[in-house]
This record gives sequence, structure tokens and C-alpha cells, in this order.
Amino acid sequence: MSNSNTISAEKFRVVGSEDADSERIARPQMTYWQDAWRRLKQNKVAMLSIFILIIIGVLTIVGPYINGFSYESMNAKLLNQKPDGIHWFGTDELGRDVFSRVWQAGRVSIIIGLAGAFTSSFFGCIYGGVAAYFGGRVDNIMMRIIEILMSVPYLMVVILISLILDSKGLVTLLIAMCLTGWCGIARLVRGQMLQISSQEYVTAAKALGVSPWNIIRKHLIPNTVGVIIVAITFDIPGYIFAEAFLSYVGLGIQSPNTSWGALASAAQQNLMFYPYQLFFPALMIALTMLSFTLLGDGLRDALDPKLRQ
Amino acid sequence: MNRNEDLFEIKHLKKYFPVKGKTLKAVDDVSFVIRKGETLGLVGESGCGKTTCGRTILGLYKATEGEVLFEGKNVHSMDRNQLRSFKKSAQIIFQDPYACLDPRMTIGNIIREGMDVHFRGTEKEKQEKVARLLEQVGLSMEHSSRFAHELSGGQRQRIGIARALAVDPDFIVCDEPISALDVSIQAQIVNLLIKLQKDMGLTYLFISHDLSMVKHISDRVGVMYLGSMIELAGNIELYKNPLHPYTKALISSIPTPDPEKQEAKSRIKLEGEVPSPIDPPKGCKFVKRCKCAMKVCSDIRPEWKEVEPEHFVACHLYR
Amino acid sequence: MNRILEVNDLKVSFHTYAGEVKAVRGTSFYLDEGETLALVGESGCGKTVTAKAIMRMLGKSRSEIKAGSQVFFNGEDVLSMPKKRLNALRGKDISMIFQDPMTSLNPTMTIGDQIAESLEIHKKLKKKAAMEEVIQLLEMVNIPNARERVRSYPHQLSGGMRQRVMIAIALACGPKILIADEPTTALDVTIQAQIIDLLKELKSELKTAIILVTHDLGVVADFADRIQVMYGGQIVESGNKHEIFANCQHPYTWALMSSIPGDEIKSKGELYSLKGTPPDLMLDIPGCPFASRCQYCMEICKEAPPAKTALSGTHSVSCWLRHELAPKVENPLKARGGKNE
Repeated sequence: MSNSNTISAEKFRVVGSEDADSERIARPQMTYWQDAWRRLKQNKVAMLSIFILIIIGVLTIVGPYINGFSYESMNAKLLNQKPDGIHWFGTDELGRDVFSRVWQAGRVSIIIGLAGAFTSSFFGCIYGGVAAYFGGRVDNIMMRIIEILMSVPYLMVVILISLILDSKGLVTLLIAMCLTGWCGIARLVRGQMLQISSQEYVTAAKALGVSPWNIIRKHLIPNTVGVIIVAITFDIPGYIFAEAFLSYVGLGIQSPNTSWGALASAAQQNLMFYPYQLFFPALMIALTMLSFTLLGDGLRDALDPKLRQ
Repeated sequence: MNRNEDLFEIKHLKKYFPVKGKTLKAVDDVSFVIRKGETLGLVGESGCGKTTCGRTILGLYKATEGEVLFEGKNVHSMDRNQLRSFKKSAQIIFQDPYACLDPRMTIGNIIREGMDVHFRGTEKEKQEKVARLLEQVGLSMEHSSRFAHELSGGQRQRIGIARALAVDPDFIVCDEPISALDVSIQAQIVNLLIKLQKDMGLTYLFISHDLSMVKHISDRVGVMYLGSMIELAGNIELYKNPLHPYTKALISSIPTPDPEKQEAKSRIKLEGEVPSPIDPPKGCKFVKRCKCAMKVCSDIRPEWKEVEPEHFVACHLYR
Repeated sequence: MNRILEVNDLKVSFHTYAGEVKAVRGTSFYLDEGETLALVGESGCGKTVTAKAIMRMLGKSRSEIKAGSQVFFNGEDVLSMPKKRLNALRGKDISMIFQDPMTSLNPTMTIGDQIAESLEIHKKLKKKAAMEEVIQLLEMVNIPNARERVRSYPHQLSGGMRQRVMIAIALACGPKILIADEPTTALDVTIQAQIIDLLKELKSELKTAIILVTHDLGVVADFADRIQVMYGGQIVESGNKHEIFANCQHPYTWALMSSIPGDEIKSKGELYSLKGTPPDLMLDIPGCPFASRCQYCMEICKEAPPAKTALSGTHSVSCWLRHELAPKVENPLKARGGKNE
């Protein structure tokens, strides 16, 4: 191949290295979020979860209108019907269409899940951030408060709150659950911020004279966002389940409003004869919780800068 | 080199950390000066306190005892405004190019951060300055919209340098800036640092464990062991005529990239391990590993003395 | 000399999201009994991948050893060995020590147990007999108070001692080949000197062949018999120690040698430094991998890969400057009057 006859002497002129090319970056530019999205896309389970959640979400919005039956209208002639062509999920003991009821209930359950998770996370983040920023004694005291709060069974808190506010229902439920629910995320945020504070780029910022507030704003918070998103994603199923449980035992959503937990509770008595009435709300609870959890798993892997290859 | 004014005067500096009831004496009574325009090399092995020393000088750690005088004023008792202008004059570049840049910020913003604190220029002026700095370190504006993870180790280290230069400092602590880089990239960075020093009249404190590189870049070199400085001399003098037994062992341990010279060299074998800086021994800290140890070495700490012009050592062999 | 390792045209690729990274692009070399071969190069040149590929330690899911690659240990084909034989090979015939002793030792096992593990598996020794050998091994690597130290945990030892424990684990079953992947990079200079002296002692006592993967030319000068310089996944120059240090012929080797400050360089003088960064290994490089950074680069260098030229029985270089039509370039180290006189 390197036969001196076939290669001309021209080729052996020295041209030296090309400076301009040597510092060029070959790969396309990718922000943190673009990179995270790409990694999430590769995770088939997470993508499936997103797909399921989108479908459930859409159905909670349009579901109660699809098959023409309102979730409230009772039909005395069609009590406890099995699922069939007209009533896709059957009817309950008052003749109401279960399909529409399930999706109507879904609105409440999911709203509670989202609202609960976001509200408690908001407070948790601030609390954790303050504790991490001040450190020392302030941090110590704030963490001890959290530990005390976490040891109070939230069932008691719920009962107390409903007694105090003298009402049951969506708002009471939310207040009660959020009252203790913020502790977990506060700890997480504090831990993450403490860890970031020890990174060298924060030391560099301090050496440059950047003010503490700007260090928090520009360095600590952006690098904690990933952790917060994952925590919220894991919190949502927790709230959905908590609501289901409380409604099941009668402390949550009351009639005529309904949630998946309330549906399950009402269907419980008919379990032996009409299991489908319990099956569908229970299925929705399980499916939604599972999807959020699997999505959270996928998000955690996608957002972790260390796992980037 | 003529005696310039002293930029820093470090007097009996101590930095102790409390560790589970005991005391970790990271820096244990260190005194020296840093002259304007020079590069002072600081060498030693792990646990010797060189990094802590560098950071305490910058005020990133508060001194337990002693003073760090910058242009006559003690860094650790400066008020807010004085501290602010001190930070503009004294900067630092770090060892780990993979940890010293915020993964979420663009390169341009990383470089600008210091400027936003200390300058009141317009947006355009700051952009121009960023472009100039990138060029100075051998990169280009193309890199300013990139993120840290897209750059190589050598490029990241250069961003670290640009960041430090953005505030127009007089003094830079180079904390092991080349240890994490490949050999050919090390040469790039060292050349860059030397050039910047010539162009801008910078003063460096060059902390490293790479003795050959330290010798190349420094005017004077200080050797630390377990928190104390045990020898300080001009770079050529130190390597030609080391006085302290530890310095001699250190220099003879450097592997020479020349097989004939390596074979001809007789290595001074240093037995044992580097002890912990927690509750160090009473007398000379090197006594357990020193082949020349005398009775007095275990009892009394040797004094820091100038035994030859510009050559300081702390050892009982030189009274 | 008994040839115990032969590697022919080794090609290794990693499959990543962005494409195929061709980390090793056809390396061939051999190892004789009892000699020390150094694989020298910077990060990304493929030296660690080559070393791990010899023992098939790369992780099947992400990496691929391409067809046409051959690795022979004592005549046996390593790449097509059945699992059982491969497990017997690792630790007993070929073993490896790694760069960071902190993470290479199991923090929950005593060092005695970790060393004994190898003995129990390969030599089928029972606990008590294994422990006796462990103590002997610890003494061999110069760990004081071996009998008590056997019960220590890794975190109770210093970095240098942990590295010695790793060496003891690796040498426990008397392997023919020891692969040392940057064994002294994470250690202090004086400890590094101790470890190198230890390895030299063990090499002469046990007649183990060593493959030393490193970027530190000082360590290589002290310790290696033959040297192979790698760049961009290929071997660009190979020769014995004296040939490489006294008369290296590849521009990359010149650059490496010149980057190190020597006695002859004026203090604060400019060190020779290569511009730019190593090549992106996802791209196919039609010519010489070093072309884009070489100050002697010619047109032909960018177009076709250079052939391997033998300068002596042991010294060979892959560079277009060797071609008869190429201009004669003098070794810049000689011209400087530097260490290569």
C-alpha cells in the first residue's frame, strides 16, 4: 500500500498541525435538561409510565363525559349491574355509572396527590434551605423539630385538624397531610445543599466574593432542583395513597364528592357480590401510584450527573 | 532578583481543626513571606498542610492563631469592605478541574461571576472582557456557551484560570493545578501560568507535590511536613543543597525520566508511613523516620532559622 | 525466552449513546517471561482498556472485542476460553492491581480474608493453612507486624500499605503475569518510591512478568525493560528502555519527553507543549492518529495510516517520517542538547 511509486513526493511536504481545529469540541451542545431527557427516553419503563399517566390524566378530564352518563345520576332500575356494553365499568348500588364515577373520583385523588406534594415540597425546600444555609445551632434546632414532628402519627394529626376545623373534606385533608408531609423533603433538600456547599465551585464563588444570597440562588438551588423533582415525583403516590386510606376509613372525602378511596370504601360492603365496584378504583390507585414511582426512579437516574457516560 | 516589597507576611500561622475530641493540627506555626512578582512553591506530601495553608492565607479558613498580613493588614481581622477588595486582589485555582466548575452554569457565566461582584461595567464591556479572557487562556468565544462537562480536563483548568483572572488579581494561589492532568496538558497549563505572570506581573503561591514541576516554575520553594515548614530556599539552591533530612529523602525519591541517571542515583530510603497530623509528636515531627535523629529531636521542636542567606531550615543538625 | 503473552491486532470498542467509541484500534505486542513491559500514554490512549481486555475484564454489555483480535496466554486462546478456565486464569495465571487502593479493597472484609480469598479459590487451601500463607505474603510485601495486621480493615491502613495489600492479593497465587494499572499515581512520592522498590524486589524473586500501565515516564525509567507508547488507541512506538529514552523516533514520544522539565531547561523557560487535545475516538481517523497535533504533519499523514518500521530487532515506530520520501527530521531532544545525548 505504501509503495513509493504510487505516493507522490508532494504528499511529504510538512504542513504542521492545525491550531484552529485543536480546541474545537466535536459533540453537539447539550444542556443539562436536554441530556436528562435523552437519558430518560432510553428508559423504556419510565416512558411507559409517562404514557400511562398521560392517558389517566386525559381520562380524568374527559372521562366523566364520554359514555353519556353523569357520575351523579342514579338509575333505580339498573342497580349493581355488571360491566357491559352500556355501562363499561358497571353500576353501583345507587345505579350510578361506575366508569364516570371512577374518572370523576380520579380528579380529586390526583389533585390531592399533586397539590399535596407540591405544597409540602415548597415549604420543605424553604425550611431545608434555611437550615443548610445557616448551619450550626440553627440547623441543629430545626432538624430536631423535624424529628419530633416526624414521630407524630399523621392519623392523629388528621383527626385533630378535622376536629379543630370542624369539617372534613378536601381542604382539611390537604392541610392535615401537608402538616407532617414536608419533613421528608426538608431533610433531603438540607442534605443535598450541605453536600453542594462543600463542592469546590462553591468555594471558588466564596473566594470571588459572591454574596451568600447569590451563592444560594446561582449554585445551591439549581443543583438541588434535580433532587427536588425526583422527591416530588415520589411524594405524589404517597399522597394519593394517604387520601385513599383516609377516605377509606371515613376521615377523608365525604359524599357527594368522591375520590378513589371513597369509592373503594363504599364498594367494600359489596365485595362478595359485586367485586368490580372495588376493582376499578383500586386498579386506578395502584396503576397511578406505580407509574409515578417508576417515573421517579427513571427521573432519578436521568437527572443524576454522575451517571452520565 | 531584587528585593521587592513583601506582598504577604505570614507570622506564626496556625490552623487547627477539632476532630472527635482531639486536635488536627493542619498548619502548626508557619512563618514566611511572599514577595511581589515571585512564584513561591510549596511542596509536601499528603497531610502536610500545604492546601490548608494556602486557603487560610486567602481567608477561606479562619486562622486559629497567628497573622496573615496582606500589604500590612491582617486578613483575618478585615472588615467587610476591606475583605471585598482583598478578594479582588487574591484569587485561587483548584486541583480538580472536574469539581471546580458548576455543572449547571455556562462557561461564560462562570467567568463572569467574579466580574458581576467587583465591576460596574456595562453588559457589552463584560462580554468583551469574557472574550478577551478566553483568548488569553487559549480558548475562544465558541466555548462560552458550553457547559463544563463538554470540555476536557485541560480546557476546564483553563476556564478556572480565566475565572480567577476575571477580577484582575495581583496574587493567585495555585492549589495543585496540574496534578489531575496528563503530562502534555500539564506543560500547556504551566506555560500558560508562566506567560500570564510575565504579562500581568502576578504573584503565585504554587502548591504541588510534583517536585520537578515546582522546581521549574518557582523562584523559591518551601517544604512542609506535618503542618510545619521545615525548609525554604531558592529553587536551584534547594535542589542542589538540601539541608533537612526529609528534603533530601524527598528529592532523591523523585523518579528521573532518564534510565542512566536513575541507575546511578542512590535513593535515600524513607521507612515507615506519613504519620497523622492529629496530636503530632512533641519534638521534631520527623523524628520517627529520620536517620539522623538525636536525643534532642524527640524533646524540643527545632527552631526556624536562616542558616545561609535566603536558606531557612528547622532542624537540630544546624544550630 | 519463553513468550507467555501474545496479543495480535487487538481491537476494542465501546457502544455508547452517541455512537461507537473505538478505544483500541489494532494493537499487537508480546511479553516474555520475567520481563516488564510498560504501556505509556495519556488518558484516552487506550492503555488501560488494552490491559483489561487481556483478562477480558471489560464488561460484555458495553464493550466489544472485535473479531480478528487475538490474545494468547502461553499458547492458549484467551478470547475464546470457556468461563471456567477464564476464572481459573484470573488471579492465578494473570492478576491485576489497580490505581486507587482506597476503592479497590473491600471495606467490610479484613485484609487477611481478602488475601486468603484468592488462596482458597485457586489453591484450594483451608482457612488455617491459608492464613499462614497470608502472613508470609504480608511479610513479603514488607508490612510490619504481619501477624496482627491480618485482622485489620482497609480503612485502618495508610495508602501505601493498602497498595501493598493489593500487591499481596495479586501475587498470592504466583501468577505468571501481573498487570499494574497506574499503581503509584495516587501515592505520595516517598511512598511511590517504596512501592517501586518493592515491585522490583518481587519481580526478581518471583520472576513475574509485569505489564505496567502508566503515564509517568519517571517510573518507567526506573522500572521497565521494554516500553510501548500509545496514542489514539494505537501503539506508535515500541522499544527497549535505552532505545526509547536515548533515541526515540516518534513525534509524540518527543513531545512526551520534552514536556517534562529537565535539569537543562532554563528555570521558567517554556516547556514544549502539544497544542490541542487527544482525538475523539468515535471518529474514524483515516491517517495517523497524531496528525492533527504533530508539528511535522505532512499531507500523507492525514490520508493514510503509517506503516510500522523496524529500526532494530526490538525498536519499531509507526510514522511517515520514516518513509524514504519524507524530509529528515532530527530528534529535537538531541538538538536541545538535552537528556537524549
